[in-house]
Amino acid sequence: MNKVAWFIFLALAAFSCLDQPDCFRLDNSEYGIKFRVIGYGSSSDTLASIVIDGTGIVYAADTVPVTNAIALPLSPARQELSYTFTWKNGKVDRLHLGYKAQIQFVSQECGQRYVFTDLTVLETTFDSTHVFNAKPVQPVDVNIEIFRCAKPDHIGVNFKKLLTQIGTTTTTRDSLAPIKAVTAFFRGPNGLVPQSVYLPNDTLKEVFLPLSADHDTARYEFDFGSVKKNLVMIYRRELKTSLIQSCGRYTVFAGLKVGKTVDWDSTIVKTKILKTVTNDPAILNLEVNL
Amino acid sequence: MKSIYNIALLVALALPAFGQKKAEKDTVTVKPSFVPTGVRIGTDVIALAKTSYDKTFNGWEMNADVDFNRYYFAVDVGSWGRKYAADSANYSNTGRYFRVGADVNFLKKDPDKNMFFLGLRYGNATFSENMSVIRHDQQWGNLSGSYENNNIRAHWLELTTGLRVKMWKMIWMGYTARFKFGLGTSSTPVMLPHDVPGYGRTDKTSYWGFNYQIFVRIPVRKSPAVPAEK
Repeated sequence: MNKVAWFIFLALAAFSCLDQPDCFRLDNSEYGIKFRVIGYGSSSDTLASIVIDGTGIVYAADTVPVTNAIALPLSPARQELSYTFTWKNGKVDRLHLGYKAQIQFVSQECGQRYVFTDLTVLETTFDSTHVFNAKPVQPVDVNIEIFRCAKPDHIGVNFKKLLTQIGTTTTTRDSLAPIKAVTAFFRGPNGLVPQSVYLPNDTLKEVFLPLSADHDTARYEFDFGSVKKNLVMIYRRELKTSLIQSCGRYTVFAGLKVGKTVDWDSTIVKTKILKTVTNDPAILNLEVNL
Repeated sequence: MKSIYNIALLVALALPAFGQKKAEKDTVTVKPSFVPTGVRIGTDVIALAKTSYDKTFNGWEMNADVDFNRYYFAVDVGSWGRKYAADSANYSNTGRYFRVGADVNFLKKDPDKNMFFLGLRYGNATFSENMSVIRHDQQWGNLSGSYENNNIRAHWLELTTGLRVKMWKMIWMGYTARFKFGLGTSSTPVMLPHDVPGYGRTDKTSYWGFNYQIFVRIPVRKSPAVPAEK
């Protein structure tokens, strides 16, 4: 028995020597934000920049939509930070965040670390927020979910090039359309009201067009440079009540179909409906063969 | 999972004691006596040795137990301080602690009352610590500062196992392996405690401790005769 006891003693002594902390990823100084649309899921809005107020820190966001979580830093010297989010569509949102920052000595080799806990949204202009996990972790995971009210008011148009057509069977492929401008026309009290559609580029394989909650039809004029083409969409408007009271009611556009214009020659006729209901974020509802 | 592993290791440590052969049935029944036969007082040699060779540690620990048949009431009292100088931070702490609990001896038939035991302790410490940091962060600027926690209280639990062996007359030696868990400390808003005297680093939910001890046993009465094994 004595041999066993000594063996265990030496094993424990050796075990205790392996007890040094790992100096890698000691701080949990970044937290994750996930943007969501109430009632729909992940948002795909595109950020232009994020500014941490009063610090001079500016993140020029890339053009990738915020489909995945984004990570933002926390200051060890403060207990609260304000962030300004500027979106590509010009909208500005603010988030005032409170948290607890504590310092802790780790070891002679690693020095100190900062421990962040108790994330709280003190104030925000976002429609709704939810602290999913009040303690940031490494690697960064979602801590705060930010919700915006649903606005499924765009249809997605996908440009295709016709390759073959045998009977009713067609083969197509994605095509880049050289679009100079797209103008949407909605009927207002004083006639048709033109509304310019935001285009991120001048050669696109897809474009997202606004719909009007006040009308059953919309006409879109595509300026391809050498020629202008029209697309008429007919739809049904359905009022839905949001899960969050402050969002009120919103319109879903259903029964999407392509209509006819008076000027038949300038009408886009080779189309295929993919989805008859709009979504937020917008999805591709229609294929157009150029 | 690690806690389960640690508890399993502690149980494994005690297994040899369970392997003792049971005495054959005897016709004589001896009524167990729960009157103490002696007090054992000792010190942790590892703490004393560390104090002399480890410049970052300064501490001592006294251990005592008293027997009630095969059960022992145990008390540990100690003090330790640590001092570290890292590249960007200097840290030091100092404090006192005590542990109280009980051990159960599994060597029932040993005439010298040698022990192979399992036990439980409640630990409590009061300590202070301070840290000075020199750091310039590229993103947040100067983060240098001095921090201190004064008279923090901490408490924890321990599962213990070990040996106590009579070496010569009143001199005993032994070791105690401690599986420490359930640490709680009083609130420290700015600086989280790093090291609790008697427990160890606070960033771990469980912790192993080890004492190698020398005791003096002061008998207070003659031990009752142990029935001879056949």
